[in-house]
Amino acid sequence: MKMLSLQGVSKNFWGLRAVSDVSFDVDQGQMVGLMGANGAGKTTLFNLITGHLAPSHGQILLNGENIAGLRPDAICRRGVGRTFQIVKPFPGLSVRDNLMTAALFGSDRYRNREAARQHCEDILGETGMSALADVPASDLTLARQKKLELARAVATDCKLLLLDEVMAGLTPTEVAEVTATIRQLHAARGLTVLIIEHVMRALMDLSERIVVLHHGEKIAEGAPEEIASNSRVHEVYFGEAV
Amino acid sequence: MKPALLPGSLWAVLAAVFLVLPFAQHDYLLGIGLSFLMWLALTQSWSVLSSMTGYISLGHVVFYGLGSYTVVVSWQQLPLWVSIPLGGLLAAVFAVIVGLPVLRVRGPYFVILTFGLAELVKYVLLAVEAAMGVSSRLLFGAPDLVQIYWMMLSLAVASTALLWFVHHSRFGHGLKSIRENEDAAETLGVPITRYKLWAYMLSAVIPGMVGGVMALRSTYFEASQAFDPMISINMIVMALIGGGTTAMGPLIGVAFLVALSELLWTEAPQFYMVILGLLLVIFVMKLPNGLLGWHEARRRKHGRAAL
Repeated sequence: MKMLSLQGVSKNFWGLRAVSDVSFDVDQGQMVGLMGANGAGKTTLFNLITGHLAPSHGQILLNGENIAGLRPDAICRRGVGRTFQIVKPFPGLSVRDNLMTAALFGSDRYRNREAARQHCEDILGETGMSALADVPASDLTLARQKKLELARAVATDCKLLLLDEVMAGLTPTEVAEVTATIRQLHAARGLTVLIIEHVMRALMDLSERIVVLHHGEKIAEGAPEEIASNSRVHEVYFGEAV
Repeated sequence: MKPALLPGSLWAVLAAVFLVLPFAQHDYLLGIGLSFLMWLALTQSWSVLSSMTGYISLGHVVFYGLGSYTVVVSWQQLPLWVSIPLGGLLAAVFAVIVGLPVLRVRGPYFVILTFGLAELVKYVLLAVEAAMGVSSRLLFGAPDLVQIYWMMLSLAVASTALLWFVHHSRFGHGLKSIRENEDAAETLGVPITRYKLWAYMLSAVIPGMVGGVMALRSTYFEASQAFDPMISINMIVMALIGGGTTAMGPLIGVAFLVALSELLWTEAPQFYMVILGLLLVIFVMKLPNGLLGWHEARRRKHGRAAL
């Protein structure tokens, strides 16, 4: 079943075409990778899906409903959670209260504070952050802030999770840890996941399918091994065909 | 937790003192009490917007002035129980009308915009009054000090209760998230535009009514006094000195500044402004979270040392 369907999505910034006529589908429960060099339009595409930008053309269907142009809070309540490449914690709030915002507002399920609190405890447990619940977010290391960003997105009770470079700047050990956490959340919560990642190993490991963007256009789509041997991708990445 | 017990009993003692005060038959004390309650009502309301969302309003006097004007213009045409709430209502309506454009602006621009807006309304009203040939309006037969005191006490209680409820509500959690990071809040489902507008509106109602009551106290109205920017500045300094987002912060700040102004009023009134300026500088630079924030940070530090 199609969870997310992009149909001919474009975004122009004045003269620049940041995203150009991109179409692809993500099925429910799938993990799909989004790959491309810097400036390929990956984050712009995320911003279009989450309502931080409105597409110039095209449709973005979430469970069949066109969400293009809705505000971010409305899209979040329809079940889309995301992390930011540059983390945006609530620095003055505790880790638990960071998650509480997501629980209280991300869906209608946890409007009640007690229910929201319980939900947050569950997610803190699943992401291995229970011990940090009372620490102000400003006191966390970058790796933990990235984890908080992930936990907070999941706390919205989202069905579709967009991860924007959650592994950037982490050590190999931390990358392995976060990869395991993502896999576990995906399985336990039945999430559909769309991942932007420059750590190729992690992306190849996690994704069932990969979409490659180049200068705002989709140039390839397929299983990780197909992408790894795709001549167009090699041309773009290494300047030569295999 | 032991310290949590203190605020509750403190509020009870405070309420008792203010309930008994009018029976002391002491006009000077009653005057100080009224001034305390007025600033408390204003600062708690200001905090509903500014402490909670981080949108610092430097123009809250506009609501006070509008409320004053409402009561004065309708004097002897509407009973006070209609005209004072009407002043609050008009302040709220004004907040909603200007809120949509004004709340799109963040940070220092919002501060300057609110200040400018209050000044604009003041000069428009001065021009209107001048065109009508009125330079100041006098109120004859205003209620006596004790009655005014009771009105102000109820407004101070209402304002404190409002801040308390907002602070402990889902709505309040959304407002705090907006203060911490507006983009993240919106991404997590907080309807930021609607919430900011609600906060702005809620923070305007009681100042409007306070303005109306204070018109009865001064028994005359002059736009340049009812819209005096010093009233806005006082609210900020009081909230800043107290710190925090709970109702406790403004209480500390208001007590501190009302006491200071009373001490200086008889000896050296011109010093009040000088000291106010100095305090503002010291607090912004050294204790940006106010006395309450400083106290909490100390407690946290000691708590950690004990672990």
